[in-house]
Amino acid sequence: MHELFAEFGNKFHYYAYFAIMMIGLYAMIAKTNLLKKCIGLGIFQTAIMLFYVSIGAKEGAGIPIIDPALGTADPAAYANPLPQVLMLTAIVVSVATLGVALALIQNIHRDHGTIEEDEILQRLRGK
Amino acid sequence: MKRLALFAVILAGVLFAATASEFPRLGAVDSAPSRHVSPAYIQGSQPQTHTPNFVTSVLADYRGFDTMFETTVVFLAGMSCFFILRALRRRGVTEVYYYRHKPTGVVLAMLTPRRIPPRSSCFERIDADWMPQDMVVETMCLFMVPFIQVFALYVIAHGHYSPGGGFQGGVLLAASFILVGLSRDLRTVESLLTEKTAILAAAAGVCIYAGTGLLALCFGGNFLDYGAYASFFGAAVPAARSMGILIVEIGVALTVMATLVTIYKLVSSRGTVEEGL
Amino acid sequence: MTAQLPILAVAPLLFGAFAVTVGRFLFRRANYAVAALALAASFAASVLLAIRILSQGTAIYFVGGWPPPIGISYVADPLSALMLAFVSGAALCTFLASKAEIETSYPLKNSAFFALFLLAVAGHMGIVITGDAFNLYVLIEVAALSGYAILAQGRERAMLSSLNYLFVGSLGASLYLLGMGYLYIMTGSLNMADLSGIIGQLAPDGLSGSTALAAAWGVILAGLFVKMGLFPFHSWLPAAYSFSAAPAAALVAPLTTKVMAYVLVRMILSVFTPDAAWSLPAVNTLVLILATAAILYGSFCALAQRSLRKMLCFILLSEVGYMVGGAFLGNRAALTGTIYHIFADLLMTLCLFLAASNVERGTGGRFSDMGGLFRRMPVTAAAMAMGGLSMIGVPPFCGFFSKWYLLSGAISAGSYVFAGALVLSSLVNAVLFFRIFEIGFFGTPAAPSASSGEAAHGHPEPIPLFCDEMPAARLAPLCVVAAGLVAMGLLTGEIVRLAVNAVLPPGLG
Repeated sequence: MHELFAEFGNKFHYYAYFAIMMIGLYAMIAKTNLLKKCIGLGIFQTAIMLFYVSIGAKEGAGIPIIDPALGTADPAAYANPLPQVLMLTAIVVSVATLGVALALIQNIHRDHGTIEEDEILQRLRGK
Repeated sequence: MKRLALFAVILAGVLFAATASEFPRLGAVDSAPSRHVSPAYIQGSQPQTHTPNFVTSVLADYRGFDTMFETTVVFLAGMSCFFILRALRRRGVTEVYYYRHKPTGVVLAMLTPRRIPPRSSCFERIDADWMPQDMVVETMCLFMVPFIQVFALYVIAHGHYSPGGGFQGGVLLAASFILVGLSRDLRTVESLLTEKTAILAAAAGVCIYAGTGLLALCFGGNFLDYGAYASFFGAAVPAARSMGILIVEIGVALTVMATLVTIYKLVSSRGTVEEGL
Repeated sequence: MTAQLPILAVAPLLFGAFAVTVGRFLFRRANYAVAALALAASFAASVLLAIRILSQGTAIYFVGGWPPPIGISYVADPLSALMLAFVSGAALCTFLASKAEIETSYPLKNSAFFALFLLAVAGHMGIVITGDAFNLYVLIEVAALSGYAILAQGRERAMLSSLNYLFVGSLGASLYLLGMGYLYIMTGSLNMADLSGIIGQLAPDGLSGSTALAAAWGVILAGLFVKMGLFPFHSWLPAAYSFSAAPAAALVAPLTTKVMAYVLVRMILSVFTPDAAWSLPAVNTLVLILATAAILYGSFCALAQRSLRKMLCFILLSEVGYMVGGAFLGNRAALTGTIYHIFADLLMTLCLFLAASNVERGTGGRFSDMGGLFRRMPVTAAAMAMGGLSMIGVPPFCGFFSKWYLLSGAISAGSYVFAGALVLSSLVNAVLFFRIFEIGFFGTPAAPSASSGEAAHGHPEPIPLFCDEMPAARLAPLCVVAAGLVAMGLLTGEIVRLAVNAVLPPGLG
């Protein structure tokens, strides 16, 4: 039992990311409001970014910029820069996707007067 | 439907949680990502690229190709918003323009924009839902703008040594324009950075990046190999790489700034770029 | 300069996209030519690269001069080089064939459309040739983001279907990213060749030995299946492709699903190696069930459609089932079939979508409008017939050979249900296309829309058939693609020997 708790304590952040991810996924599936779906997508992507950034953490390591006092002899003194770079890319991609999604939603609102998906579909079927 | 979704999501969450058993604990020094590849960046950054900030050297040099496409994604987002949203004016559609007589506060509604010169001293063009501006807000916001921009330039230029770089600096630059838009109106932003200039700047930014890459071919290097510029700059290879990183960061900043301002203008004005927030 | 060919295949598209953006303000009239030139340059470089690689063997290009796994590399092996030539050729054909549509569909924004089109092609080509797993994600997003934008213009529902595609597509790409995160956390590398070596060390007896690696494979598969529209994740595909304007659909529909299937094959061959990828029996069975369901579902939904493009979209769904199923049957013949089918299906869908956009333009896309098609548009109808026969699987068209490989693979794997689904879907395709041929040969043509004097008469009288073919500029690319169907069928042996056998591991049973 004690080991189980220790295991959980070491890995709790992974469970937190998966929980956040599932909250986002739920919003994307269950909500009919297009903007809420967008937010769900954002939450989903953010969870993945957290997952990556946590990979880069090292105990006792500082920010990934050379500290003149330490030099670069010991890579364990610096956090892993690669996940940070990757997530910078992922953040930019998710911002770009969000921008395009907002543009589409605005046009949908202009055409249909609502951003509730079921109402739009009802209207389209009515025609 | 909602219950089903909830059930599915919980099931997926449990499945995901079950996969975490082999992952290293948080902050493990001996995990695979800490041992493989990343030490090469940490030890190589200073001697190979003269860049103390590892994130910058990985971003713009070791994995600069990713970042080039990332900048392309930003450009693409701007073009996509333009393509989807921009309502280009058609001939024969009359639009109402509102002008306010500054001394008296009388508002005129006109069907054609040409009667009053746009920069008339006693008339100003206003939005349909115009509200008197709060002088304190407007003055303070405009006062902030130059400081934000100087800081943005610092963030771009100092990206080698401290957290920062093209994306962060570009966003700050865009924020300064958006602040003008929020405190004044959209037309002021449009007069400072017209749509045409913004689109050209966005394309120019990515072109600087990709062009720096392609030009390296002429100096006998591979694509994006800034080291090939060593003979051109008359410097050692690491110094040339450091220089190359700075050039591409400037390109990135240009694209990010122009694209974000474009997206703001399009989304806030429903694609007309006439009046908005 | 030949060493630089991998990058020279992609670079013209990037610079072309920036040139047309600037050209909007400077040389608007020449923009179409600039974009076509960029595509042609990219096609030329890809063909040169393919010739060089097929004769001399794999070349690895270090972007930035950094060797992997530190830097990003482009891996031009026989498979990726040939795929690159196919993708750029398909894009060039689509672009040349749909000039008039681009001008009418996007009257004021065609420069923006050119830029998005070129970047979409650049994204797909980058996906094909990259040797870095994270670079692949960025390129998937480049390809997808431009796809969302160009599919959004069209009929009334296009915006909503495109937004739906954006949600599903981003979800798929995010799942792929998460799967890569699993691999990264276990291996510390992002380079495909490096990953493959480390996975081999971590799990020498197959993925069942490691929960995290097995989960990584599962999550990546889920992401790719969402992106390619395999059966339970398919709902976005027919809507997004059938409501958009014709040139966007003709570009995105043949490329996206095929390139994603290519990524699946790449994952099996280069990242996990076939032995590891097929080492989870439960996954194999589940994927085969999904693939079979996709084939049957796509075929039967196609039967119910009343318009040409929508029918093609559902056929596309069943073709995805072919490729995914073949990749998981677990033997050499089936994997050969999958790889060959990626190429064949690219040509077939391209041929059919181009023909469909001609038909839509000439007569309207509904079956009821298509009477007398073979008289009115003989060349288009002939090309469509060739595409249809290839889809059914009639020799000597290439569709026959991929089905042959897939069927023999299914039978030697003992998967008779999948084999049965393949045969059934061919029969359904036969019914679908012969119905169109019947309408085209024997149906009464609808009144020509503009000059319909006959409609004024009280009783319907036969309208004289007349030839109303599209201009040669639209027909030439279509004819090239249709001829390619036969040529590829005749060259099957060569393609399998040069491009497929060269990349399959020799010990594969």
